[in-house]
Amino acid sequence: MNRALKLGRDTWLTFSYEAGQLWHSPVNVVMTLLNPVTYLLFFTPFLKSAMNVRHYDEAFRIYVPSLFCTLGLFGGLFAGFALLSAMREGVIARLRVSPLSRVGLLLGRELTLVALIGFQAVVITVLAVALGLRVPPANLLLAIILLALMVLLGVSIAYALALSVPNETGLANLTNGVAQPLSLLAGVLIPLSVAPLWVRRVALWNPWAWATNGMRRLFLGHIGAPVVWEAGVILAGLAVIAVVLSSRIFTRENA
Amino acid sequence: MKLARDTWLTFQYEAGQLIHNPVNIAVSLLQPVTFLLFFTPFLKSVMGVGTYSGAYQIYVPSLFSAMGLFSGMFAGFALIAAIRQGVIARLRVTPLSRVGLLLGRELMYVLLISFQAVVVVVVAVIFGLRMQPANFLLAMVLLALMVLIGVSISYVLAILVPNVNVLANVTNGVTEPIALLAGVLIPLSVAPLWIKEVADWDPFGWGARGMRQIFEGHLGATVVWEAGVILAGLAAVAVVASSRVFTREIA
Repeated sequence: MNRALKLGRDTWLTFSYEAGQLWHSPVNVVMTLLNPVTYLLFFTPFLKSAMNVRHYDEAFRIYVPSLFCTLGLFGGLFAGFALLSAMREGVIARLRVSPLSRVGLLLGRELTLVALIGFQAVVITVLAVALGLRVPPANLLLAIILLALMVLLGVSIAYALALSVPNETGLANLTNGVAQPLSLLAGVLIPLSVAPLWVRRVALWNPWAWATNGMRRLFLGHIGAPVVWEAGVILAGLAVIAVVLSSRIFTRENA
Repeated sequence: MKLARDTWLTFQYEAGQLIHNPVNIAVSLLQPVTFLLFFTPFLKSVMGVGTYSGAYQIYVPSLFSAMGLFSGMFAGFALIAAIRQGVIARLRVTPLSRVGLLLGRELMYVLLISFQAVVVVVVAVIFGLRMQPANFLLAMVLLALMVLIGVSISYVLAILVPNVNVLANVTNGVTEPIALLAGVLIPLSVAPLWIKEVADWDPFGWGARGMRQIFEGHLGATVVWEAGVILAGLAAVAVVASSRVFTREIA
């Protein structure tokens, strides 16, 4: 019990430190919104026509979950570079001499990214609502929970990769080579529902595709659809495994 | 005469550097090939195209535009790195003309992206694309013009904004909307009217549409020569402007 309490406190301390760092560079935070906002404004109209949808409301219900998935996937999987540069700059070494638990150090950093991407998702949703999206708040909240699990999964994989391949160029190629097919096969541009059968079969093995399908159901108002809780179970299970695994690697390499 | 020779010398040197890094070239193919393999099936379904040949005829030109635009517009970072490492300064003490120095580098990108385009087309042909070799050559001319426009704009930006962070944000902020409005994912032909009207001001939109007509075998379509004229005119303006800025700021 005491250990759990200490871990919770250390995670919180790291989180508030890292979130404070983010807060102090608002320009960087705004810049992370550039790409998603561009896609929201300029890709939705294409999708609306191609999917034969009449209103922007419906086009946004199809596309905003895809955009959430892109945010979670890329925001998560590319987090390893920040960890590498923090290690190079000695930030991690300086915190290691403090009595902070190693796992708390890692979890705090992971949760900072969850908060950042959650913030991006809220901005995207507000903008989409201004342009016509209608979504019940409860469904949106559930979608953001799925997004948070996705980010945890992605960040943990990214941290494990960054600790195993501590070379920026190699890591960039590896991450790109993995993230692009994962995102396309999750239907983040054109939904899986209209994809050929072989693509849908391959996508069954892609957790991010489950997440996108689940979130799309939520945005369409089908909160009781089986894919919603299936996606939740798959992502939660994988996120737990990935977080435990990345903590192990981190403690071994950095303890 | 001297300008052509200096351009050729620089081009040879830069191309040699490129060939000595085959891993980098292979890695630069990762993204286009991923999109070719995994995005075309989605496009085939959503556009209601019967065959993969038809789907590739729609998507390969889009992919070419995206490659030309992104590789071109992000070339400025390599120029900044070369300036910082003193490569440009070392070449400046030689009798090479400044403009030749710039043109040689720009043409190296044309070569690199043409090579990528050939690989993409070979992969697409394996998966079902059918087209005339002459049409492919014509599409490559449009692609080369797009690359020249992109690299020249990027060089001007890199020389005027030598802060890498700001440059990254500016380039991203400009390139993504240009790409989306050129219809590089879903073609402009199915876009809403307001998008089409905005895209009339996007030269890469013209390039993508011109190339698509060429891939579909309609060499005589008006948009083909219109795209050629627009891109050639802009490329000439962009190359001259970038040479001016380069000679003034660097030489």
